[in-house]
Amino acid sequence: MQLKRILHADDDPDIRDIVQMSLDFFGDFELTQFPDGASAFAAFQDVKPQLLLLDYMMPGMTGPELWQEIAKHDGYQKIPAIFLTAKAESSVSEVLMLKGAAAVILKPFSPDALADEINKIWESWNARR
Amino acid sequence: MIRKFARNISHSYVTFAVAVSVICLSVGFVLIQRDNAYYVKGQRAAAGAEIRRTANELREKLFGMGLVAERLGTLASSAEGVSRDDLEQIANQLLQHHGEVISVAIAPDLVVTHVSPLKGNERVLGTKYWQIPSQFAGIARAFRSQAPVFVGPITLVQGGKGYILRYPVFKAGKYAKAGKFWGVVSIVVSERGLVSAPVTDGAFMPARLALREVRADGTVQQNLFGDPAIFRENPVTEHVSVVGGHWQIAAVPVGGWAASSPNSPWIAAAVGLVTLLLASAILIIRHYAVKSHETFNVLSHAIESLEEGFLLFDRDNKLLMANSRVAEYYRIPADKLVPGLPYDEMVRHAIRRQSAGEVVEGQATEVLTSDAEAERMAEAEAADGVQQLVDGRWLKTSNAVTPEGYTVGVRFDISAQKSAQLAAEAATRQQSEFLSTVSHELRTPLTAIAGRAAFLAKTHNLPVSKKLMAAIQKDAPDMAEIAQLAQDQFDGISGQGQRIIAASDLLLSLVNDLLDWAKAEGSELKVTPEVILANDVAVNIVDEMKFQAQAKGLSLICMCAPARVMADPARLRQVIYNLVGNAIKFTPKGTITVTVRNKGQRVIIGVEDTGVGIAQENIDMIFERFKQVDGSDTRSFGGFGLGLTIARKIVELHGGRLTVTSKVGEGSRFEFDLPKASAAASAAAAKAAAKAEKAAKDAAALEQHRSDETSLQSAAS
Repeated sequence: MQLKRILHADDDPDIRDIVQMSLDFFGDFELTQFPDGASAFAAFQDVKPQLLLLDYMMPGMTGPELWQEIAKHDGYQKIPAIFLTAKAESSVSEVLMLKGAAAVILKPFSPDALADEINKIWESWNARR
Repeated sequence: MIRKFARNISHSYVTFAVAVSVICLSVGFVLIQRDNAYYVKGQRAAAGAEIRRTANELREKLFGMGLVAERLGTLASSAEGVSRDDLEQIANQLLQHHGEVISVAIAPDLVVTHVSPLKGNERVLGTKYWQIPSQFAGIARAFRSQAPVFVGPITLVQGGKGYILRYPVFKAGKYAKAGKFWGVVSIVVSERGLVSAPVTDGAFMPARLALREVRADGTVQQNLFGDPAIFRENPVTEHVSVVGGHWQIAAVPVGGWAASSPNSPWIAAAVGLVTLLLASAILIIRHYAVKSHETFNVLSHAIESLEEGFLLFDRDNKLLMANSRVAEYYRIPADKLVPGLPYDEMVRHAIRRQSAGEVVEGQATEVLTSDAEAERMAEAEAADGVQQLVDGRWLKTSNAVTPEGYTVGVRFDISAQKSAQLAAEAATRQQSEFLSTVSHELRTPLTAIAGRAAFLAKTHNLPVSKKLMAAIQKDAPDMAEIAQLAQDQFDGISGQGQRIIAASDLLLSLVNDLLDWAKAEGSELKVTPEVILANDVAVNIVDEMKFQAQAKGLSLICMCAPARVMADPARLRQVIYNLVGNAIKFTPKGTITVTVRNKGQRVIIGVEDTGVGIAQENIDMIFERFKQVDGSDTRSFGGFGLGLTIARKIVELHGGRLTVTSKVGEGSRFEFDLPKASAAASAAAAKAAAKAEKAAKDAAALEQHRSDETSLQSAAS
């Protein structure tokens, strides 16, 4: 299945801007962005995302919390989540992977490679399923 | 304390020894008294037996003599009279049974006509009694009383002394019935023959006897035998009534009644010995008891002086000994922590004390841990562990079981070590968190810089670039379109560059904060105070940051009075910048006011906001390094949390103090004071400024002069 709809949540406008440019220029996605977890959760059923691209630390609701809440809803239990985080501690990545995250991408990331990386993760995720 | 306790013990034993001695001696005294009484009772019994024997003997003698005398009297006063042979025959019968009888005589009309035996008594014949007053007195008494009279001892006619029974004989009949006095029958008894020698009986001494005749009314008629004083010596007495007379016999032991039994010295000696032995035994026991108590006290005091808590339980887990540290640690009243207290009860005491509202919930859990430990101790398991007390102190518990099955517990206060360990762990954790924070905070602007730079590095990939290239490569290029696309391209690149600069500024600011903090930590942060106008610095910052505040819809104002201070201008700017920056960051709406005012020799600079405020319990935390009130993953604000730490350090280096007052939901006010510049310093500074200004003007004039020269030279060439 082709990956089209991505829900991106990050409180840093710079990151949202760079991710948008990156995925627009180097990919073919329908990207919907939110500045925090609460607004993303409120709108996710309209967006109908196939993949979540989430910041780890956000005010109000963290990335993992948003993922957990979305996954409670029918059709989203198995939705792949990729975390973009500046938290370099391996423990954070390990915990997320253990919880079933599709991947953890560490900031700073390479904008021109982001789209390809997401596509690869998507394919790998679907292959595992 | 030890000596006092030992002395108390000593006194108790001495008192006991004295009491035992008194009891022993009392028992001995009673024994001796009883033995004496028994002995005297025996004496009296023996004396009683003696006088009964004597009385019987006397009774028998007198009765016999009375019969003989009566018979002789009857015969003699009869018509036939008494012949010599009759007298001999009757007298011999008496003499056969009573060897003590000396003679039997018949004296009609008070002249002795017959005497038997004749031998040895010849001088008696023909005796006319009225001629011998000593003899006549008894006869007269017998005549008067018309009854036999026993008298003596008196001097006898035949020589020596003796007793005489005078039996009055009346012709017409016997005794009182007689009409005419006939004469008298006399029976003489030897002085020694009246009472035979006393019989000695066993341990008792021979008795001394006394005999006296008493009248019917009890008065003494005459003393017959022995020492009359015997009657006054509490004698044993016996009454004898025979041949019309009454006699009283008295007996006392030779030497009197015993004051003490012959056994008394032995009893006294035995009692004394027993008393001595008992008292000695008690005093020996006392000696060892005192030693034992002293040893116990020394041990107790040694245990009491330990800095560790000490507990000793018996096999049944009942408390034998505990020092006051234990009471202090577990907050058990001293009167409850007594020997015999079961361990689980001790823990219950502790729980009661600790659950009386002195404890927070988390600490009460530690007490319950102690309860579990009580179980372990009850099973005599040497379980070592660490427990936290309600007052926050930490105890290391160490338990061991003695070969006798007793449990010894030692409680070490390891609060210092534990605090150091916790502090070290906290420092390590803080360092780790710091590194994580630094990494996270640096990566955030770096992501922006790297990401945007990546696009700039491949500008041809930008959509606007592609459109521009397409417009240029058209067969008939539209210059207006190309110009517009070129402008868009420039704007895009410029926008990316500005964002990169902004992110770089943030990055630089973070790096500077790190450096300043590192300097402050190493005491390398220096300030170079000079005379400056604090209000100028404040106004400049407000002007610079006004747009940033307005972007958030905030109003930033300055109420700054002219104030000349001694301060490092760059550092003062850094402090105010930080405070205003924080205020903008943490104020969602409202106003931020910067104030500068003079107060005596100090200048007070304040930054007040209408922001989220800080809870009272977090006030101190905000000045700690790497601390933000919200340190969670959902925090709204980034940064190292070093700004206020550095600001406070800078203010302190200026001799001031940075304080904060705040109320949650209403806002915060940060305020610090700086020394006001003195007049002399201000004048010097003004002079220096004027000099610098003149130098600048001179330099400008020189530069203008050179420029003019160059222009002239160019024109000339």
